[in-house]
Order: sequence, then structure tokens, then C-alpha cells
Amino acid sequence: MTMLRNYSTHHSSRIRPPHTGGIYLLKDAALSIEQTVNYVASLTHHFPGTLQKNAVVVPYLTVRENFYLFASKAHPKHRKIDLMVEDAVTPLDLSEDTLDQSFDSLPPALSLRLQWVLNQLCDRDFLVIDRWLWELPKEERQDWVQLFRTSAKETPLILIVLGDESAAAPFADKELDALEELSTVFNQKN
Amino acid sequence: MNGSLFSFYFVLTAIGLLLSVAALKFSLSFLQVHGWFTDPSSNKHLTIYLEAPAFLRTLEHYEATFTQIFCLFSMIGIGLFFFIHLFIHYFRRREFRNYLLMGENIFSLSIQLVIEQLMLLTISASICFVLVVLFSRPLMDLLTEWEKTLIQPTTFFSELEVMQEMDSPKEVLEAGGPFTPRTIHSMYMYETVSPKLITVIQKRLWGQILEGLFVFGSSSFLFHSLLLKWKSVRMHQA
Repeated sequence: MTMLRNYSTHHSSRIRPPHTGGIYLLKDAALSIEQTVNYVASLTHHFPGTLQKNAVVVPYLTVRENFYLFASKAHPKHRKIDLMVEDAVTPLDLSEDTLDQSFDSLPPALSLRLQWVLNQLCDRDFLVIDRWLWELPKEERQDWVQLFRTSAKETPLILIVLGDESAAAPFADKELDALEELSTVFNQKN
Repeated sequence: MNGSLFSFYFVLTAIGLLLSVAALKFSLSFLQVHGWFTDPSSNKHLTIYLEAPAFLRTLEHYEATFTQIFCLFSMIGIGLFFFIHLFIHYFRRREFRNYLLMGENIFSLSIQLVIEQLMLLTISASICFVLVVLFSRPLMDLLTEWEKTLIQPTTFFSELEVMQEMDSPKEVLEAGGPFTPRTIHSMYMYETVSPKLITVIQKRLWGQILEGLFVFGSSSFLFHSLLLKWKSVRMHQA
């Protein structure tokens, strides 16, 4: 069982999500996704979304049930969650069987795609992306990067990409060496 | 494992021990057997035993051994319970991590998972208990057999067997056998205490163990279902 540090005691001031989006690359190879998520949560008082191979969902629920659950938590006053989920999933053109499977049984590429849609459905302001991006072939990575850039430009979404020292990311707005630099960046943006 | 989980187990263990001790102390058969030692005149059956202090002493020894076995069973049971929990936690560690990344409070999450597991274990234990009650007769016989081998070194059962194997002292004497203190004693015992009665006591003491388990099981079930109502985990943000 992983033990996570609670950073919330160190930062009392709350940082509001900035009005413009951006992509930040963290070049610390020792940084885990749990640490990053907790740090961002302590800064913003909101848990960021994640995009990783082991999807952060309820494991014993199906894809559809997870979509319903997350959407109803993100939009508690929305009355027609099923229509909302339907609208979000339709562009992916998935079969009914796929939606009734669990996230674990899906191929990694599809799982990531669904996680991206799920995070958009929940209107996330922050998204932490794990190191799977650097393992992809160049063309696939370009597709994802294009998607990230469009979202960061059009919406106030902030993408935090985990990488290491060798990661070259011309698409990133800023390259950071340590986790703590995120707070200064967010402060400047506000 | 975090501190809150350990403190939860500590409280649970304490409650479990208290309940099992209470079940032992207040069960009917214990009070009955204990009553024979402390207040002989209160029991109408005691007129039989008053005349046989040797038998009473062996019964007392038997009771002490029984209490030891009961405590041993409780300790082993609680230890097993704890290790089953650790085992389930190990297999649910990814789920636990996911909930934490969703923004779940670590304390309420621990409580939630522990309670879920407790419910599962208690329900399965209750089902086992019902099955035991339904098929108790062959099981009782089996337990009695085990008990005989467990408490073999005490004089209680060896004397009992001697009594069962021996011919009636009356017959021995009538056949011109020796008129020794041993013959007199065994005759005395043979005439007063029937082995059937002893088997009844034996079975009652085993019934007491099951009674204790039932009290512990049902009360812990109630306890956990109450806790579940109080501590329902909320996902702060999905």
C-alpha cells in the first residue's frame, strides 16, 4: 500500500485555476504521479485528473458505470447524466460491449482515450500525464501532443507532463526541474 | 498499514476479547459447573457429587484446562482474523491507491475498506455457524473425540475409561475378588456417577464454545453495520 504525504498543511493559500491553459514538463525522473497529484491538490484544493496506463477509476465498475459515477460527482445538479455521458462517448464510436467492460480489460490506447474523454466530461482544470507519452512511437505521440496543445489553447486546462532529463518537449510552455516550481508558475499566472 | 488502521484493529481486538470472556463467564454451562464448586447446596444434583470430592477435583482440573483451550482458541481466532485482513488489503492495494488519487480521505477510506472486509468475514462466519448448527451432531462427536485426545493426560478421562472398562465392583466382589480401597472407591464411583452424565457435561462445555462464537459473531455484525451507517465515505471530488 502506498503512503502518500499530505501537503495541504504546508500551503494555506488557495490558488485558483488560471484563465489560460498551458503545458508544463516536469523533468524530475524520481517524481511519482502520486506525489504530483498530491502537490497539485494541496495548491489548488482540487484533485487533478490523471492520464496513465492504470486508469484511476473504480476497478470493479464497468466503463459506463465509471462515466456515470464521475460525471454525477462532477455535475451534481445535472439532471440528465445519461445523455451527457452518451454525448461524450458517441464520437469515439464504441460498441456496447466495450462500454460494459472494465477499464483494465481494454487495450492501453483505448483506455487512455477514454480517460481523456472522462476528464473532459468532468471539466478538469488540471491534468497530470504519466510517462507513457515517451514510450509511444513518434506519430502517436504527435497526435497526443496536438490534442494537448489544442486543449491548452482553447480551454483553461493545465497539463502537467511527467518526464525525465532526456525528455525533449518543444510543445511545453515551460520545463520545470522540481515539483515546487509549479507553485511559482501558478502564482505568476494568477 | 497506517496508524488509524492499527488503532482500529486494537479496539476491535479488545472488544472481541471482552465479548468472548463475557460469553465464557455468563454462559449457562459455566455458571452451572462453577456453581458446583462455589455453592454446592444450591444445586439439587449436587447430593451426588458431595460424596465424591475426588471426582469434583478432576472436574475442576478439567474446567481449568477447558478455559485455557478457550482462551487459546480466541487468541488464534483474533490472529487469523487480523492476517486475513492484511491478506485482503494486499490484494486491494491498487483500488486503495486509485481512491487516494481521486481525492479520498485516507482515514475514512481505511475505515470503509476495513468495515467492508469485516462485513464480508462476519457474513461468511455466520453462514458457517448456521451450517454448524444444522450439522452439529456429527461435529459434536468429532469434537468430543478431539477433546479426549487433547485432555488425555488429566485423570478425568483415564478414570472414566477405567470405570467403563472395569466390571461392576459388585460383580468383582461377588466373584471373590480382593476387597481393596481401590475396589471400594471404584464401586463408590460406579454407583454414584454415571458416564452418561459426564458425556452430557462434556457436550455442554463444547456447546459453550459455540455459544460464545455466536454471541461474538452476531454482536460484531451489529457493531459493524452501525459503524457503516455512521462512517459512509464520500468522494470529495471525482
